[in-house]
Amino acid sequence: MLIDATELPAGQVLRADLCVIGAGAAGITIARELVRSGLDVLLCEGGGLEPTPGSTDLYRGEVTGRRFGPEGSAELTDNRLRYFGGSTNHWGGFCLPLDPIDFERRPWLPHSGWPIERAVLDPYYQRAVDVVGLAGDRFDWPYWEQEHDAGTSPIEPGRLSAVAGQIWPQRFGEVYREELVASDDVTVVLNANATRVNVAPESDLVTSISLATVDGVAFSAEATVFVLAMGGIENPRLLLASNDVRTAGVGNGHDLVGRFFAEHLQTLAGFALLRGGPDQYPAFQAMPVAVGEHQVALSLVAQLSAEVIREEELVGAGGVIFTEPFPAGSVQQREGITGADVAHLARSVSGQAVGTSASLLVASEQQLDPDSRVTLGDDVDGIGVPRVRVHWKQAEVERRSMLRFCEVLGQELGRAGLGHVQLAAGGLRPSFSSSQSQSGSDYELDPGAVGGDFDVLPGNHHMCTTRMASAASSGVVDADGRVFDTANLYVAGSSVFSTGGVSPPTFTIVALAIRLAERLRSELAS
Amino acid sequence: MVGSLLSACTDGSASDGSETSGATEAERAVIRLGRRYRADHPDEDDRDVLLERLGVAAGVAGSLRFLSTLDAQVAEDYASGRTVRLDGWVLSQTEGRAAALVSLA
Ligand SMILES: Cc1cc2nc3c(=O)[nH]c(=O)nc-3n(C[C@H](O)[C@H](O)[C@H](O)COP(=O)(O)OP(=O)(O)OC[C@H]3O[C@@H](n4cnc5c(N)ncnc54)[C@H](O)[C@@H]3O)c2cc1C
Repeated sequence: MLIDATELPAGQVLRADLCVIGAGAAGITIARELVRSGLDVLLCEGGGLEPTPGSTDLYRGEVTGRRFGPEGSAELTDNRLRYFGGSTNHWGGFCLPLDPIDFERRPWLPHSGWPIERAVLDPYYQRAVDVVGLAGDRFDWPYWEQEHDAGTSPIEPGRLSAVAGQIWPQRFGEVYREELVASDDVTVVLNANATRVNVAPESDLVTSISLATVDGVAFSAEATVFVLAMGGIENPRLLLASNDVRTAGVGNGHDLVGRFFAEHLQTLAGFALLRGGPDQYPAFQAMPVAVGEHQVALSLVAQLSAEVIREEELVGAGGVIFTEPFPAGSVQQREGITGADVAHLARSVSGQAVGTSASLLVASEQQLDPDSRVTLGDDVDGIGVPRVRVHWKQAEVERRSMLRFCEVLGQELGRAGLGHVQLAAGGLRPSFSSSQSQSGSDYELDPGAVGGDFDVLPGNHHMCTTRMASAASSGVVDADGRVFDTANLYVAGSSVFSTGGVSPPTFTIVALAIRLAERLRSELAS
Repeated sequence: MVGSLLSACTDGSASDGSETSGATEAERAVIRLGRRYRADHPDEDDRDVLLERLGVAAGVAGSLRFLSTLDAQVAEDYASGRTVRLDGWVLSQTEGRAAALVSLA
């Protein structure tokens, strides 16, 4: 069923067994899993079926610390979409599961470690494949190389691993709307913005969630169990803003809601000169692969192996080699050792001519920092909720890991006799983020300036702000996603990630959402 | 395109080290690399030290042709992570030393 909240009378109380707030990848997945469950499910989405200025405005906020985009850009409205389907209406669809090492406690990384192992997620990753529309649950490159002629990877297992990113930008809102609207169990409520989680004094239960349309018409939802699935910035915002009874906010008894905000750092970190022509490197170009009814593009991703991360006490880092012009246009280098010099050296040593230039787009995980955080700002939005303030921090180990990845990649290409890598991050003018380098920008490279606090772009992945932990003293939700001090409140989405890993988050968000739905189904059935 | 990284060398006309005008350009390139290596590694700014560390005899070293005898050693360097960074380029230690030796010839 579908309800437009703009047509509801003020004060209306909606009732259900389960109330899910937010219809993005997480909320839609949970609701779909409960179709034909016999449970009454409300899926309350703040936006409508299209973006509107009024709804988008509720996402405005303040960014302090590191910037998400160039000064003056709409940093918190460009990197999220507030309407049915959420940010999957414009996501890139790049999917990889997290690695086993991401779940481990890594002593050199404060606050690392999940309360579950990767194996716990394996069956849910398998089920997430269909939800996201991927071509199977294999993400190891050798499999695709052998079974689907996906081109040879030059990377031997050891210091790097070669994984296959599957790219399919499933538009959750468009693809799953009909199914949800046709369902007898699920009621989709559009234009229903959660404004407060209501808890009774002296109780560990949520009684209702206050909702409002952008025009301020207030109503509410009562349910046995509630799930917040509003994205990695809005989940902590609503918990913090629900501070009338619990003055620090709901779930915030240990002052952890909103802390540990993590992103993925990305940059054009270097270049490679490869022997022979681009045709020799099909694996370096996104390759269409069809399996059954699913068609994806495969992308070869090289990542630092768990052994190197452990030995050198790094964070996860990896990257993609593009032999296409993307993302760099022309690169001028006035001083120092140039590509031409290295090509001559390579020819003299190996007798083979260099024929291909490539760009290295590299990403890293973030080390968790409690001061990198989402808090409430001083202003309120149009429906009375304090606007969000995001203070984003970065750590030196992140850039060090990105450059180390490039160096190890250079060693791998050299070992295979394929070419040479040049590290460039920090030496590029204009900087990567200010060039908005998606379109083949031209650069000048000063090799003397490589390294340092070089310029990065965020991945638009907002993680760890209601992190999962084994105890309330180190996280906001338990291993099931339940808020520690609130028995009938769960959180879904990348805010529950204990650490971010280097893989993009959405495939894991969907796997965790399927797992949570399974748990809710049995909890509500009993 | 990042082709400008390659400049003259992408079109297959790169020098093979013989006595052509291309060879001069190749030599100049390797000498530039070698000088850079020596500047970054002052303890190796010495022909005898370089010969010893490369494990080669004085007679064979010094020309571009000598570089082609080092292919296996270069690959071994990369495999074991024995690399240096010159202006951001990840080069094998042997490549750096051999270029340094050429630059001293
Ligand atoms: C440009 C871009 C590219 C991306 N590319 C990738 C990629 O390639 N791979 C990848 O894995 N990830 C990618 N992402 C991230 C991906 O989009 C998110 O991880 C994913 O959408 C998160 O799903 P979610 O359901 O947790 O949150 P969202 O998709 O953000 O959905 C949250 C929903 O909650 C609603 N909502 C918010 N507040 C309220 C409220 N108060 N009341 C009611 N409803 C509310 C919103 O309207 C929205 O519909 C990208 C993101 C961006 C911006």
